[in-house]
Amino acid sequence: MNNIEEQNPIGPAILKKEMSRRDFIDWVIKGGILATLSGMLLPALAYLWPVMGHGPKVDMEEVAALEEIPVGASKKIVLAGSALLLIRTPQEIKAFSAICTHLGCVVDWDGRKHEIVCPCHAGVFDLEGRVVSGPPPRPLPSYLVKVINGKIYIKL
Amino acid sequence: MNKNRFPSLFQTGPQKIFFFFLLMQCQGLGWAQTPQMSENNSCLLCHADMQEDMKGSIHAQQGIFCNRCHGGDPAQPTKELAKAPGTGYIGSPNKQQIAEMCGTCHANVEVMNFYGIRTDQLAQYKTSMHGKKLFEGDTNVAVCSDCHGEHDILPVGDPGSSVYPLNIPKTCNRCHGNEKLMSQYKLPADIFKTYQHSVHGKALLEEKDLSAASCISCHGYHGAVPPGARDVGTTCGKCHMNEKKYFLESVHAGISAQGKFSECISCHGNHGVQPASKALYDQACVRCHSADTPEAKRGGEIHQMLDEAEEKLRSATILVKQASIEGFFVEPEMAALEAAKTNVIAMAPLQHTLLPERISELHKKVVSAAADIARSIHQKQQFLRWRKLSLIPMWVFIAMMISTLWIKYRQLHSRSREKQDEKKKRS
Amino acid sequence: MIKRWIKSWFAERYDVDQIEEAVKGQLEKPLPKNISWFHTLGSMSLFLFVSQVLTGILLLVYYRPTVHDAFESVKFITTTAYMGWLFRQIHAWGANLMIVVVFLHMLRTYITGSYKKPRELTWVLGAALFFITLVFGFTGYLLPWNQLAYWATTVGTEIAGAVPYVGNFVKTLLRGGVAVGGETISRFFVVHVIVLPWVLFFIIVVHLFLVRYQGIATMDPVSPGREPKLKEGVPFFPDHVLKEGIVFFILIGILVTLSVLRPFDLGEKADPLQTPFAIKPEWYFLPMYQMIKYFPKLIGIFITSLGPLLLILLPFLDRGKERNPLKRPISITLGVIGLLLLIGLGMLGALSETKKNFFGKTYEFNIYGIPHAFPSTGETQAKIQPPPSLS
Repeated sequence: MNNIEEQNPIGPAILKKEMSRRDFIDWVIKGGILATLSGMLLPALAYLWPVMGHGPKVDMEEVAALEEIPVGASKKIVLAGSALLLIRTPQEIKAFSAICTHLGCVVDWDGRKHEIVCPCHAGVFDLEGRVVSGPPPRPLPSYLVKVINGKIYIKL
Repeated sequence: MNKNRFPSLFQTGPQKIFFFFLLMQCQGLGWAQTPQMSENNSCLLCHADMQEDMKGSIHAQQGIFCNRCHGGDPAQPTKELAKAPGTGYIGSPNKQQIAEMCGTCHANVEVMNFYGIRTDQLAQYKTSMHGKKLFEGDTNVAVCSDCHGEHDILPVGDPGSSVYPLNIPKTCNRCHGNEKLMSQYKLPADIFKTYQHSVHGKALLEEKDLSAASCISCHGYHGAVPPGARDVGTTCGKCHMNEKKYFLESVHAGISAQGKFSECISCHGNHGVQPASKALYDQACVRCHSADTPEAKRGGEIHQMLDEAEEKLRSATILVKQASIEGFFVEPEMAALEAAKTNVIAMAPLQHTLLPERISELHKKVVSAAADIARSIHQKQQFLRWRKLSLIPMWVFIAMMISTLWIKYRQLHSRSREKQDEKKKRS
Repeated sequence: MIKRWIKSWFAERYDVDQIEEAVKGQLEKPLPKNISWFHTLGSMSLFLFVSQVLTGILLLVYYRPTVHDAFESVKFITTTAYMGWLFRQIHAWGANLMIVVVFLHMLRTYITGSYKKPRELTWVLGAALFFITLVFGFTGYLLPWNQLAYWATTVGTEIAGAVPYVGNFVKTLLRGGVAVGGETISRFFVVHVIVLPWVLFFIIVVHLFLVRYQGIATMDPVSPGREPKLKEGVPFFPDHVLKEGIVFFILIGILVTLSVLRPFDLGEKADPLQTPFAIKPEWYFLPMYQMIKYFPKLIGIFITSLGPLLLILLPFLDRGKERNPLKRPISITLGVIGLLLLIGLGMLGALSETKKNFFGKTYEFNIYGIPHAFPSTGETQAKIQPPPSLS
């Protein structure tokens, strides 16, 4: 803005008071532009900051650590708005949808009986997700599980 | 699952049955069918009309010919020789003969083992009301062929079979819907109609849900007997296991044992059982307990808890749905909703304990889950409101910038006009 | 201190004075007296383009163009990444506003007759910029991979398939296969983020160069030889820039306000097995889409392709000398008719296959946008009438 002032030399008739007013307006404009730019830049920087340890969903989703689930025990996790049941057998980790195929209750793992049981209508599933007894019309959907470096990954 | 409903029929498990069908089909195809069948089976020379009937039947496909039931010798070329004395020809067997005849194979472990079919049907039949009456000389009662058919017997798993789960009620109704016949035994003849409108009947006949209870689920089939008052709970409990389990914890379990209370039936009815509704608390309790007794009040208390839990779940569901329509990210809330729904559904069997303490555990969980969901949705809505409110300072800033720029513009404008005036003066 | 040091550093290496002179010359370039508020629309188009590039780059940070991930990654951007919702909404609204602003810019040029000699090429490039903006919209619309996008793209590419002889070839080329799928998203992505931005950028550079080189058109009639150089006028900087600043702040306010108050819904993930009812393309394709409905396939496509052709060839068709709109009754009348046709067809397109309430009565609009009282009788389906606006 300085060279404008130089370029349009102000006549002697103009008072000093108006000078300061003009300066003030220039400052406001400069400050405003700066504020606008920073107002654009700051959200962008915030946006670039990673939200979580890992990015958005890739093929396999890390859901738990292996040591969280003792052999013969289970863990329920929430993935994409739905519950999943992880069961650790002596050989491997199995993952099923925890939503009973009957009326949509959340099923539990019964470690003593080695069955997946639904608390609502006594539906029982085996370790392959197949219906053993009770009203569920279909087996529980299962998911591909991979264990890498003690971390459990699931493919939805 | 099917195993529970039809214990003996499906004992072998689906794979074996499948194998059985496969085997059957291979054999069916392997045969050059009719020509060979009639070559070996001279009966069909005269009874050609039976050939159509027989063709699809499981017995024909397994190479079981007329003589196994009717006697005679199908290897003989003429009618007279085939039916000659000594060939054991009996013509149409009577009902008692039928039962025994079927039993010669179906009660023989050595024969049936290959097919993986159990062999206790005849023994069971003899314990049934039908069997008892038959061997007392009553020929009105049902025998094997009345339910399974005669020449055209199909395997149970075949949807065309008269004993396929979907067809059972109609098959029973052939006799049990006959008013004249039933009046002899002082039995009602309208059970099919009642059943048709029951929750089980609708599920089976309208929704084709094979796991829904039909006549045989409660009464048995080969060993059909009406369950006595004390057996009702066991019968219903075959499918409604949790309800049965919790019922046994209730005060009514004790008096049921004494025969004063007919377990499930007292509240739910039998053939016409309707979808369980909370209205039963208002209708059924007062049949024994007058409205102002503590027992009736306890029922009211449970009723209220169920109502409240359902209402909370419903309003939470609406809230989440609405939020998702408004464009909120509601996946965690949907998961929480699923858990709450489980608790509400689990309350249904649990209410049979009639213990408010037990029910209130789940009730509390539902209420708090619903509150959590509502809180987190409101938080998100609050964030959006904040987002919208932040538009106000933004516009204030914009207004400020616009007015400042405008003032600057006016200043420059007036100055350039001055300059022009100056120039004009000079020129 | 530092300022002086930097100055001297450059002065020792470059002819700073000459550069300063050139920059100053450009900055203070006098603009004709008739420069109005509407003359800021060009800069606003440029601003929106820059905004689209910047927000687009930000979106690219998290976006993944595969059938598997596209929807999920956009969902991630809008729900999880900090301020991601803002950038997606500004990008989406910016795209729509850009089409509006570029169109208004063209309209201003049409009304002031600025496309006439010697600025024919500037107009042709500008028209190309407008069509590229539309293609931007078309390719970008698919990228979130939601139901609406998927089906709008299916319909859009289907229209291309109706072109005689080359149609099927073009359709397959656009889709990268028989149906819209993973290949489509890849090539739309490439076109949207690599090809079009650079094409647009270079055309903008030439367009701007021509504008600066030839100066802004006055309202005087076309002069026989070369246009005389403008000596006196409003300086570009600061006078006109201040005006642009004002419009810029209003525009940015509108952009953010729309993004917050009327966010675009992500909807459901694309499902090739479930066709939603009444699929429609984006609003800016509605007039064309509706036009095609009224004619047999080939004629419809011929007529709709006439529009762009006329637009590009406009400066060569309209050889009148006058620029002042009041002295060009025919051009202005034709322009108004064209505009009304666009708006009318667009509205018919928006209304078609919907149910709306007017004066307490429910009307059902068929695919031609003809209202029928609802519940309608069977005959409405049987008889197809041409719309009143065209018959």
